[in-house]
Amino acid sequence: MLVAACGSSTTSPTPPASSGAATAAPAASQAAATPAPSTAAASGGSLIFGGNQEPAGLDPWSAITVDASQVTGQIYEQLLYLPAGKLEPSPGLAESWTNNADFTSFTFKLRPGVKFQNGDPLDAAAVVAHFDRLKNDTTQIPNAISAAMKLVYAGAVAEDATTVTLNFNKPQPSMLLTLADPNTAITNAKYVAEMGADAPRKPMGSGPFKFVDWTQGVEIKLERNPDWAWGNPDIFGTSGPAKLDNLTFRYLNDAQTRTAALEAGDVQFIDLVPFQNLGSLRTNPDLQVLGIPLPGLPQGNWMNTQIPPFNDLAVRQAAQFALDRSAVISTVYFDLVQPAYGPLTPDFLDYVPTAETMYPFDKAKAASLLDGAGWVPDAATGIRYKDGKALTVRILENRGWNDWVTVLQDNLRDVGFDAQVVTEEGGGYYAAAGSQQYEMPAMGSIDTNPVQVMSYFTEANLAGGVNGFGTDPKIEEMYTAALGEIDPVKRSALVKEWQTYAMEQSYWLSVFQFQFFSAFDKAISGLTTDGTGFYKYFANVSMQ
Amino acid sequence: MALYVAKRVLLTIPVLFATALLIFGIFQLIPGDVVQASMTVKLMTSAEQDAIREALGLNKPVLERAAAYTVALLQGDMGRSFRTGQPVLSMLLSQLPYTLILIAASLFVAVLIGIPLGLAAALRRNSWVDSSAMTVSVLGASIPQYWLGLVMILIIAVDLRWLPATGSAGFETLILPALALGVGQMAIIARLTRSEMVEVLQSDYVRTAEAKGLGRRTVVMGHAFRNSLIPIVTMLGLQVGALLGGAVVIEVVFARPGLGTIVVQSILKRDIPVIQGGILMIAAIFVLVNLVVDVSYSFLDPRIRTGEGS
Repeated sequence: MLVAACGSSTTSPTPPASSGAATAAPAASQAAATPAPSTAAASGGSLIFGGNQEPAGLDPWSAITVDASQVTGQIYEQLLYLPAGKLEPSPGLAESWTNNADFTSFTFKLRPGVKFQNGDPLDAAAVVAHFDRLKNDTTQIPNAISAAMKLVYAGAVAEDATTVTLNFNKPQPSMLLTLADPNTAITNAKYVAEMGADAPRKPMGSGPFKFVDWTQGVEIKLERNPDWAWGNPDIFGTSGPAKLDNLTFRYLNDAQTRTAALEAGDVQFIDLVPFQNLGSLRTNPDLQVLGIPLPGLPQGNWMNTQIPPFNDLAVRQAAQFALDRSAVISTVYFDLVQPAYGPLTPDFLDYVPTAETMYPFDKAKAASLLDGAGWVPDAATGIRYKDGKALTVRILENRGWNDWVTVLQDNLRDVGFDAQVVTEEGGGYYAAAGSQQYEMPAMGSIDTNPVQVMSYFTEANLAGGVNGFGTDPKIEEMYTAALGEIDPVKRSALVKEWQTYAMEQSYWLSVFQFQFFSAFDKAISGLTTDGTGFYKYFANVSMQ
Repeated sequence: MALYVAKRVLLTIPVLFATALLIFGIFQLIPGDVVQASMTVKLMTSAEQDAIREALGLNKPVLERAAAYTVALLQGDMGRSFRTGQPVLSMLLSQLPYTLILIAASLFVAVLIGIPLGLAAALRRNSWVDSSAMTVSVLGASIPQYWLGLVMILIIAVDLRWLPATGSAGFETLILPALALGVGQMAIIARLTRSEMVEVLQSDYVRTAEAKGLGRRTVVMGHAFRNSLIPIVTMLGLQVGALLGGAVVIEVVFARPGLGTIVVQSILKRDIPVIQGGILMIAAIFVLVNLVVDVSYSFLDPRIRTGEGS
């Protein structure tokens, strides 16, 4: 799971029923959007990636931002990967794997001859040391995947030099998907211990690129790891070594500046392209734009059922009818994204279209529901009141990620809500959302498993970051049943039933399906992405 | 004179001390802490949360932390960043040169354009030169730096490709940010130069110099302009404060490192030790510049000196 609302990358190893639960099917769109690896690409060259937020550190154990994962994905390697167009684990450092019947023990056969960039062997003992470090480190704030892993990790055993078994204290049917996340990349525990507090600023892994230098506030420089010759071509487009001589991540926090830097040739690749700039970038003959619709919880807003006014179903439903998605998509996103209506994006095989017609844009219906709920409009302002209290809702946005909220604010005001927008960013946003004091936090996440999305609606949501407000026993029951259901057909039926029920109860206001746009120099060839379409690998990239 | 300077220097110590405590106090009023603000707080046990608080020194009473902060500060220790774990002082010192270079370059732009513009306007008073120069200065003072920066990027870097849009390596990356930041100050300098020169050119000693048969150039540059410089130099010093504020915006627009960038980033991430240290460093620069201005002004104008029984 990746929290698209904030650019923070997290995954929970806890939920679904089986690893086969990865039923999202963004394969077709991703395959079409992902540039094919080039076999004729020239070797060498340098590439500057214009990133958004400079990472705090580059230890996969604690790195939380997408920008951090973009860098760690080049330096470290994972046991498993998700290849582009597929959501099934593919070999990485592990060549093959098995698990026991109750998914509490996983045995991996490691690729022989792999070395860390300092020459240390990356063998079974190193993998054990990595996961033990994850369990024992109490000095850093772990990211969501590490924190969740710590809760269930029961130890690892090096069976022989290239065979390692990971044990968990609870069934972990989706552990293989978790181990395909960049945040589970294997670190050298010995090196980390030697480096102490400096380790996250001087990363060292086994991947295609080596860390060279980090200039605070400016850039992180990597260079080709000449020893890297064990890559999975399905993932990286090459078995190695990487083609680029140098790969630099330069941080350009302002979106307009990032775009201008690409157009001026200062950088050759940018992520998080502002929607308003896509038009000009697409017509630029020197540039290529890549947009990938991402599966998961669509972009939208929670409605906080714990506090008024959204503890009243009629008010929640009124907000649904008040939203004009076409206005959002045309004015904010320039008709480049697709509307969403329910708690799942349409890519999932379990998707049901029921919600698409449940709450059409209908201001009269919204007003009627609010009238019925006792909210009376003030003649002068149009704001509705009940028992002397205004119909106030505060829409919480994470700056730069939730631009639709201003249109939502207008839509809600049109039917009598006193809608206000509160803007936070990063940690401040999560503190505010986690406080449960805001009526409408904006959110969205990228998930490959619908049961993971179901978990966000539960009271005991342990996903971290995606804070729903659920205390509905029926939702809890549906989630528990889907979580424990091994039969994919029965599980799918539960997921479908849940979507309809969640929208009948109007716990979630869906707006659109998140689409992540990158733009880059046409001279770049050989770029590959992972199965989510989100993470990019530069091992096969060259500048033509 | 020495006593005056010593008094001014000593006065900066309580100012900086009070600033440090004020900044520390303000941050104590913010509810929650970095552990609570973390998106994984729900996944950590209370013992794990407490262990991190202990590692970060957040579990002690506020007065104890204030005392420890003050003692550490006196030893040049601003603590460690919550985000990166790096010493705050070294993080800030790594950014300081970028900001100082940008401010110096902007001042250079302001002087290089502003003074000739003001001089030309004063010497051709009420002519088209005067009107044009003052129009340029009004525009310079009115255009928002952020907008000007973006327009320059689009035209000079993107369309014409004459200069890089972003970056901090090399002289060429400094030109556009220095122009964007310096234009506003240029306008102030131009107007000040004009008004001072107009006043001085009407002085008796200028008329006397002309009556003695001195050349126009000598009168203007050797007598009039030299005396006009006193308020201009003072103003330049005071403008460093405004430039420090403007640098925050310009550094972000041009993706330059610097104190402004690191403070803004830290505010967004609630990295309180870096915010505290950054604000303190900016305050210290401002206090230091004011001190230099005060002292230099007293050198330039003896009437300012006090306590010497002049």
